[in-house]
Amino acid sequence: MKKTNKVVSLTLLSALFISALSGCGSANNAPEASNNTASPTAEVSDNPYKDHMDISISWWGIGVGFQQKDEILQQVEKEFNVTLKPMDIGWDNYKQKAQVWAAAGQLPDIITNSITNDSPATYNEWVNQELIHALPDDLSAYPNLEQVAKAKGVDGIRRDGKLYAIPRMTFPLERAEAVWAVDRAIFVRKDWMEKLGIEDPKNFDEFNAMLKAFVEKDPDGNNKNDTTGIVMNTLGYFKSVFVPTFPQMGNQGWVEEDGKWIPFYASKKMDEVVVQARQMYKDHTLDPDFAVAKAGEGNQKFYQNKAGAFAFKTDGILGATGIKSEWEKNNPGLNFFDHVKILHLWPGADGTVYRQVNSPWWSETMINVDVDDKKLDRILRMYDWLLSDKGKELFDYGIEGKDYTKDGDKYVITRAKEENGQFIDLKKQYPSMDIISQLAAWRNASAIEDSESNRAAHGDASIQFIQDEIKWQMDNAKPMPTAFEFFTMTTPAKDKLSSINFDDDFTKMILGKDDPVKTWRATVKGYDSKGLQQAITEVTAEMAKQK
Amino acid sequence: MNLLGKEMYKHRFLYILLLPTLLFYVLFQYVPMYGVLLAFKEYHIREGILSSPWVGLANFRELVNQSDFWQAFTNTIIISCGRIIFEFPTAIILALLINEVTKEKFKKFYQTVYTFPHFISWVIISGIMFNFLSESGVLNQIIASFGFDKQTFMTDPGLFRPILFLSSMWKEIGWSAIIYLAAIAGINPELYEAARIDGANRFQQLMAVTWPSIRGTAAILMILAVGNAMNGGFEQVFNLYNPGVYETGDIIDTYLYRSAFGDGLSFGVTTAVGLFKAVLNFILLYSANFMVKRLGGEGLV
Repeated sequence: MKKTNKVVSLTLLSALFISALSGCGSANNAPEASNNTASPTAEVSDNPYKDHMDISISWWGIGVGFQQKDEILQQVEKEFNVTLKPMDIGWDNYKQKAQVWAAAGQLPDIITNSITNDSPATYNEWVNQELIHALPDDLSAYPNLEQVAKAKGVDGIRRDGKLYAIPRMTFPLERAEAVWAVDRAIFVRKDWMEKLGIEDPKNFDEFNAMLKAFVEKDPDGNNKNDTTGIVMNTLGYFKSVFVPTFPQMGNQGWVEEDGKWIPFYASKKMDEVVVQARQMYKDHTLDPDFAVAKAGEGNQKFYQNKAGAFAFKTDGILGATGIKSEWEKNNPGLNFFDHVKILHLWPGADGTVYRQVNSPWWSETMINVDVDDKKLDRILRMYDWLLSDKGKELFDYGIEGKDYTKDGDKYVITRAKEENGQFIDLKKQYPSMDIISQLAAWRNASAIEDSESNRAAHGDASIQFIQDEIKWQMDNAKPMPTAFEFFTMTTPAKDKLSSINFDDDFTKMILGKDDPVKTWRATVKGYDSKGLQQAITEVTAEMAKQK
Repeated sequence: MNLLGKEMYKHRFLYILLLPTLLFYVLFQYVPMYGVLLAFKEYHIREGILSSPWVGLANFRELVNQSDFWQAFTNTIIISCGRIIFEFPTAIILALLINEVTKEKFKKFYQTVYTFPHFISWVIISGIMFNFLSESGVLNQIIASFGFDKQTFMTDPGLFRPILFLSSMWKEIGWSAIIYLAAIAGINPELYEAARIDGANRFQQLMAVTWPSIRGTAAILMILAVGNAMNGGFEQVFNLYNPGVYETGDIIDTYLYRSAFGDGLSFGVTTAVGLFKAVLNFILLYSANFMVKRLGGEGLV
C-alpha cells in the first residue's frame, strides 16, 4: 500500500515536471509562413466564402465597439462568413502595443498601425523581419483596393516593388485637400470676444493679447480668476497656432535651408516659434496644465467655460460626443453656434494664409505574415467591399429596409428620431459602425459631405458650418508648402531620427525657465548624437539625385 | 560522494517536496534569463532570441552615446538615494510611534489608517494628485484665494523629486512599518520590566530596548533597499511624470520603456540597458551586505 502511494506520487510529480518543461519549449517554432504573393484567387472555388474563418483585428477602442455585436457587424460577418475577433488598442499606446505584440508573436491577422508615414524605420523593420504579408502583385480581383494601391504617393511605401500595407486614405482621393483643410481648427468663444470688444486677431501678438484678456478680464463674469486662454485636444492640434510663423511646422515636414534639406525642428524659423510658445505659457494664455493633461482632457475646460479657445478640428463638432453636443450639455439651453466660432489663422510673413495639408493617407492596415492565402483573399475581398459603393451606402444610410428605403435613386430615411427631431446618429445606434466604416479608409470626407444622410444625422446647422469653413479655407488659404516625398523617404540615418520625440522636447522647452532659443538650440544640438547631421547629409544627397 | 547520495536517497521525500519551488524558480526566473543575450545581438523578431545575429558590444556603444540615458542614470541614483535617506527611516519612526500608543484600539486604528493607501494603485493616486496639484486643482485654488500666484507643481522639475518622495511615503509608510511592528511584538516584555525597575523613562526604554531589538531587521531591509536602488520605482514615476520634468524625474526604467516601445530604439539596446542596470544592482547589493557585516551586523549572505 505504502509503496503504491510512493509510485503514484512520483509519477505525478514527474508528469508535472515534464508538462511544465514541454510547455516552454515551443516558443520559437513559429509556423513557416507562406510568402507566396501570387494572386490567391486562382485556386479559390466558385464560392469563396464557403469556409468559416476567425479573423483577429485590432482597432482603437474596438473592444467596446464590438461588444454589442450590433447588426452592422453581424451583416459584415455574415456576408463574408467570418467571425471578427477584436483586439483592443488605445490612442495613447497603440504603437507600443503593436511592438509588444510583434515581440511576443501575437500580432492580430489584421493589424492597425501608423508606421508607413509616422515611422518608416519601423515599417522597414517589419518588412525585413517578415512580420507582415506582401499584398498580391496583381490586385485586379479587388478593383477598389487596386485604385488605392495605384494612388499617388503609395509607391513610396513599396519595398522591392511589393506593397506591405493598405494605406488608409483620406478618401475620396480627389477631395483630400478639402478634408485636410478642416482637419485643424481653433474654436473660440465669440461671445467672450464680443463682451470684451475684441476683433479677430491679425497677428500673433493680437492673438496672444486676446487670450490674455480671456485670462485676466473675467470673460464669464463670475468674479473668479478661473479662466484660461487656449486648451487643446492633443499637442498636434495646438501646433497649428504657429503655422503663420512657420508654415512647415503644421505638418512637421522637411525644409530647404542654405542649400540643405533639414527637418523642420532644425530650422532657423523655430527661434521665433519657441519664443512665442514660451510667451504663451508665461502669460498663462496657454493652459498651464497642458503638459500633464491626457488626450481629450483639455476639451473639458472648453466645455465647462474655463477656456476661451480650443485647438481641435472642424468636424470635431459632429456626433454624440462631439464638441457641439458636449458644450451644449454643459450649457443647457444655449446654442453652440451662438457662442462659438472658428478663429481663422492670420497671414504669415509673406502675406499668405496657410491651411493644413498632409500626406494623402494616415495610418494603414497590415496583414500578419502568418495569414494563409485563403484568409488573405478573404480579408482583401472584405476590404474591397468596404471601399465599394455598396459599403459606402451601408455606412451612409444604415441597413436597407430598416433605416432607409430606396425609391429608384432617391433615399427615404426611415430610422428613428431623437427628442429634438433629428434622426438618431447611426454611430450611436450601431457602435461598430465607426470602426468598420473606417477600416479601409478614413471617412472624414464622408462625415463632412453635404448629403441628405449627414443633414439628417447632424442637423443642417452643423453641416452648413463645416461647408462654410471648407469654402472659406479653399477661397482664402493656400496649402502650406510641403515636400511630400519626405513622408515616406527612407535612408539609414533618417530612419533613426524616429527616436527623436519632438513633442516631448517642445513641451519641455515651453515649461523651462532658461532662454527658449538657447534651450531649443541645445536640444537640436543634442539630436546630433541621434544622427541628425548624418540624416541631413543623406537626405540632401537623395534629393539631389531625384532632381 | 557516495555518502551524499545515500543521504539524499534517505531524505528523498523532503527533496521531492522542495522540487516544485525549485522548478518554479528555474522555469520562471532562471530560464527567461537567456533573454539577456539580446544585449549582444540584433534582435530579429521572427528568428527569435537564440538565432538572431551577434553584434558584440555595439548595443552598449549606442547606449553610452545617448545623452538621455545618462540623464536617466543620474536621476535614478539621486532618486534612489533620496528614497533610502528620506523614505526608509520614516517607516521605522512610524513603527516606534505606533508602538508607544498605549490603547490597543487606537494602535489598530492608526495602523489600519496608515496601511490602507498601500492598496491603491499608482494610476489612481496619480489621478488624485493631478486633481489636487494641477493649475485648477484644490491646492492652487486655496493659494489663489489667499491672493498668491498659482504654482505649477506637476511640471516644475525642482518639485518633482520631493513630490515623488512625499507621495511614496504617504502610500507605503504603513505597509513598510508592519515588518518592524512584527519585530517589536517579538521583544521579550521582561526587558521592558527590567528597564522600568532601573528607572528608565519611555524614551530611554525606546532607545535601550526597542531600537536595539529591531536594528537587525532594519539592517536587512536596508541591504534589500540598496540592492533595489537602480529600480527607482517605475510605476510611480511613469504615472506622475511628464516631459517637463524629464530632467529630474526620468529614471532608467521609464527611459527604457519610452525608447523600446515608443521611440523605436532597438530591443537589443534596451536589453543592454537592463543588463547594465542588473549588474549595478548586483554590485550594490553585495557592497551593502559587506558594509553591514563590517559594521558588526548580520548580513544576508
